Amino acid sequence: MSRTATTAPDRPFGFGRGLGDSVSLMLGYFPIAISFGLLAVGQGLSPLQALLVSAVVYAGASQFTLVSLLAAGASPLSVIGAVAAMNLRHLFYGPVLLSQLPRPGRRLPRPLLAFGLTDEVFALAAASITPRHGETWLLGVQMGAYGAWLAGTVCGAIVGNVAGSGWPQLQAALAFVLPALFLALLLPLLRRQSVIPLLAAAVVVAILSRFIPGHAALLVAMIVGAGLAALLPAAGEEAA
Amino acid sequence: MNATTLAWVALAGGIATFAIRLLPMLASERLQDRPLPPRLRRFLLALGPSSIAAMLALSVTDLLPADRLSATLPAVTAGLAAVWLTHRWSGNAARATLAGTLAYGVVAALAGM
Repeated sequence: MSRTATTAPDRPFGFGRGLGDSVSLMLGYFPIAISFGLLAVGQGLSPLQALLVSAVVYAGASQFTLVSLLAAGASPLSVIGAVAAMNLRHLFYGPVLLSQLPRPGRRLPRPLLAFGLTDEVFALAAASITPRHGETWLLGVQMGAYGAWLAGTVCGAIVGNVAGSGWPQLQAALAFVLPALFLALLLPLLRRQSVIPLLAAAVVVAILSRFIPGHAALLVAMIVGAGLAALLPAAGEEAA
Repeated sequence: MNATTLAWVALAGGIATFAIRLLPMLASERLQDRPLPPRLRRFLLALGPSSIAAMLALSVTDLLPADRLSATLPAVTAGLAAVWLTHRWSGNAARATLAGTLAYGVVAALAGM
């Protein structure tokens, strides 16, 4: 994605470059956010309330859960607990990215960087960061993704009903955006030595997700894959 | 759904999510001058690629329900192949994502999914 540098050799990649690199995330987020807007309005939220949830929570799957559980009459405390549990895997994201970002250069307030650390932002950043990718680059990626998420939510809530009922084939095609994005991010990371940990993570999540919720399976798979990489020194270094 | 309840649940859910993202970041910065054990460092560095592989597998699995495998497999295969070929040709993740989505959509439409 952004591994090939085209600017001056020592100039770090900044906000604008990050915004440009977030295009693939925007493509992935927009249709999903439209789906969320549709769901939220379908469950009785106004477009403004749907936008509020997207703006404040900003965590895809748990937003769907939040709205669905509330609509089903679940207690507020259990809904908040479910949202937190679903996002526990994000515990790792900040420390991993900070360890990869170069230390010299402009430092941004940590709350600013933490807010937008979604799965996909983390995946893109972890796959892209080189010594030239600074914190402002990461902020640019996050802002692009966040903007697409909010715009998609608004579109879904206001005009999404038309797309949802009128263009089912478009909706079907958009279901493949995230798998396509993840594969595109994974391909540059594939090395012979990293195959075993990555394959283990994929197999574990595929099996576990039949028995436990996807977000929990994801957390276990990440730990298994990274644990294997840690135990196999060459694999760990290549995977990084 | 009560608007007030929704507002405070959304706010609390947002704060919980934000805290989960922020607090480990702050803690790791406080510890950053201490050298990490090699295995822990390798573990942290491998979390990113492992999470991408897991998210890919999970999202593909969602598209391949066991009872409709023969109907959905061609579209998924076409989409993944298009991503791989386009990425090989262009090295660009956005183009590869678009090509994969297009290929999936075309095959899915032809298959009447």
